[in-house]
Amino acid sequence: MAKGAAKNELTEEQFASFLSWLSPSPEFAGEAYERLRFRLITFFTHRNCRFPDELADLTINRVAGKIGELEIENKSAFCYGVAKNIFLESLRKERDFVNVDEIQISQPKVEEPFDDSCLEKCLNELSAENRELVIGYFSESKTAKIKLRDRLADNLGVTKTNLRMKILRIKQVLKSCLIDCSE
Amino acid sequence: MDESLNNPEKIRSYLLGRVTDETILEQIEERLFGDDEFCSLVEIVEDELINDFVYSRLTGADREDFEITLQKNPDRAMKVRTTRALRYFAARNAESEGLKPRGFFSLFLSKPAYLAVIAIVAVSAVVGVLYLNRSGQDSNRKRTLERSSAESKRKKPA
Repeated sequence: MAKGAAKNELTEEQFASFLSWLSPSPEFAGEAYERLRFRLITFFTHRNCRFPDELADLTINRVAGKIGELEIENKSAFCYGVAKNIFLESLRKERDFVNVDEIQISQPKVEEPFDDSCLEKCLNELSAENRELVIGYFSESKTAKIKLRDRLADNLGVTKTNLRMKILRIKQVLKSCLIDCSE
Repeated sequence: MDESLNNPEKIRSYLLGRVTDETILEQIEERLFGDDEFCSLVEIVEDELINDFVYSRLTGADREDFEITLQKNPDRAMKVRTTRALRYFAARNAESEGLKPRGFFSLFLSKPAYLAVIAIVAVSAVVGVLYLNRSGQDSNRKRTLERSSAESKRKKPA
């Protein structure tokens, strides 16, 4: 699991207690964390923030600091509230310190391929079933793809939506592994 | 609850950065944080956009708007890199293992019903070959018997 800046700001114990606050079951805590991070990054991106991932991690750090102090019933709503405050703070900071004409937005590194050895290492860390599934999912030509996905869903006994979610989660695990491997 | 927000086209528009109306933005955000199913839908639509981008199915304004979101969202850019890596890995893998030419057979072997049909055809073929072989042997024997009886008839008058 890529913990982003939250890893740097929080101690291991704080991070572990934040995960168990998100989900008491260790099996689902990682997924709950990734999902919260997705929500936050999506929120900050579409509020036109310049560093959505950093603001997402700042939100997580702040929420993690509050969980011992407050009785929080609705965790998601609480995180949304904290995110909105951080968004407003970021607007004030940008207005105070940044000349918008000077902003240089770095180009995304989407063209830079991952190292093959990293990709193979990360694929090998998946279970054999998940590895075959994700490679199969991306291996067919465009025309055969729809049929292939129907067949994969049939074989697994799941709906196409569940298959997509399964692939999405596998990709999430791969992405985290590739980030760690490339660092 | 505004059910029209569940429309994938609306979510796609949000993810392409085209929703600017504050009320709609807030409605989407509230659903995103408060409704797990809606969050899954947003994740799926984002994944579709990423796949479309990687497979060059995203064109024109959609592609331009998506690229702008990539500049702001390094997490999404990383998902694009991961998907692209998977695409090339899978293509290389298919080439090296000769998966493409075997596509037809793998389709056959994937369904138990097809396997049963193949088994029945194979068994029938074996039985057929054995039968033909046997009947061939029988007719050979018959012919040999006929020939020898004809010869013995020819020899009798002497």
